[in-house]
Amino acid sequence: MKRNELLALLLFLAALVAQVAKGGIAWPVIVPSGPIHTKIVREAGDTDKDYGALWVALRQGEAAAHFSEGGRRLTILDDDATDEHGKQVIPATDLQGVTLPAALFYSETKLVGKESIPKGTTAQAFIAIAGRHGG
Amino acid sequence: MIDNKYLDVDFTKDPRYVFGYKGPGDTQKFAKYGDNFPTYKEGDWLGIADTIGDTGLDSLVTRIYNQKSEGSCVANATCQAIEIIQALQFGKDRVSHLSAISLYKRIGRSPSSGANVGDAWDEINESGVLPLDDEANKARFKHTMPNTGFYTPYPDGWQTTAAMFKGLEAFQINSLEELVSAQFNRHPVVVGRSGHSICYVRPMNKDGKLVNKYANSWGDWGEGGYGFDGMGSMRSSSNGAWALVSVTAPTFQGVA
Repeated sequence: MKRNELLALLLFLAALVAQVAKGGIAWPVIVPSGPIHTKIVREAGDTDKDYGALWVALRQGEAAAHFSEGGRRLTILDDDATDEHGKQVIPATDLQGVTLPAALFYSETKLVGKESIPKGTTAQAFIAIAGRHGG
Repeated sequence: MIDNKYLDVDFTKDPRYVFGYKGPGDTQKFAKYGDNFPTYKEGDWLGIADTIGDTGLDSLVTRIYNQKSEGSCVANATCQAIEIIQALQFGKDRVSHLSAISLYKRIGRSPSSGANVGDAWDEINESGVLPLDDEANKARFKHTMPNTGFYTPYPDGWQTTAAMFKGLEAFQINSLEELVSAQFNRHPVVVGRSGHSICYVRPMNKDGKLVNKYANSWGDWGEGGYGFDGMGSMRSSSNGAWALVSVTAPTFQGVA
């Protein structure tokens, strides 16, 4: 390596270290390219009039259209929901690290993201939340 | 604008009336709604009703049932509640319409005996109901039944398909406050009064008074299939009703 190339490399590394020391580097979020299945998971007792209104709003108008286009899907379930064989459909491990109600984002069967849903979230705001995870 | 003709209807005076609601039945099996969900004081009801807009449970109704001349109203109201929760859980375009008679045959003794709402819950929780025999369902499911026809036999092995359409959680309603609050929380309520059962879907503000919109099972009766109950009728309906909270997530919905 030539001297000025080495100098440029050292300056770059110094700048990188300084950036990390200052506040870290915002690595870009890798958004999955395939359609996302968004699953809202709540405990039955979570639902009050505000969350209840959100669940229904997500089945209307722009939100309903958003979650049915391009292969996207939205499912709203209780955390202990079961199928016809009595098997729980949401793995408990998928809920670690989030407070219910929460949105889980799946690319095919792989969990690729999750976020809790704050009280007062509107349908528009939820679309934005899902969008951060490709949904 | 609510037509007063369909407000506080005396069901027994309507030519479509067939006795069908025998009473609440055993409601001790249910956990109490008010112990598990938020409830709202009467003084707040009109204000809350005014905020519902297009997020009422009536917006999730994809079909008005028609029990025709059989006393199967309890089963029709119950299946309506299941379909509403399907719409909430999976989307309106993923609702499978259901056969009320596949439920009524297990809770009634004859085409006109009627049934208890508590028995309806028992059956949908234990065994579920069959999908309606429309073209989409016949292509997808091995076992379907029509909506009416008490003497229609069950197809062999029907239990495996009915298990896809079970009620998972429901809670007992024993007061007007719980009745109204459940719908504010977006839980449909199966009720009965005057020998008839209906599915409550939405409290509304009518000229400064609270009325409750319900999905009837009389086909094109009323305002697009709906009627409305004032406070007195609601109070009559509030004892021994139940609110449906969740239904099965069957594998064909591709949720797991």
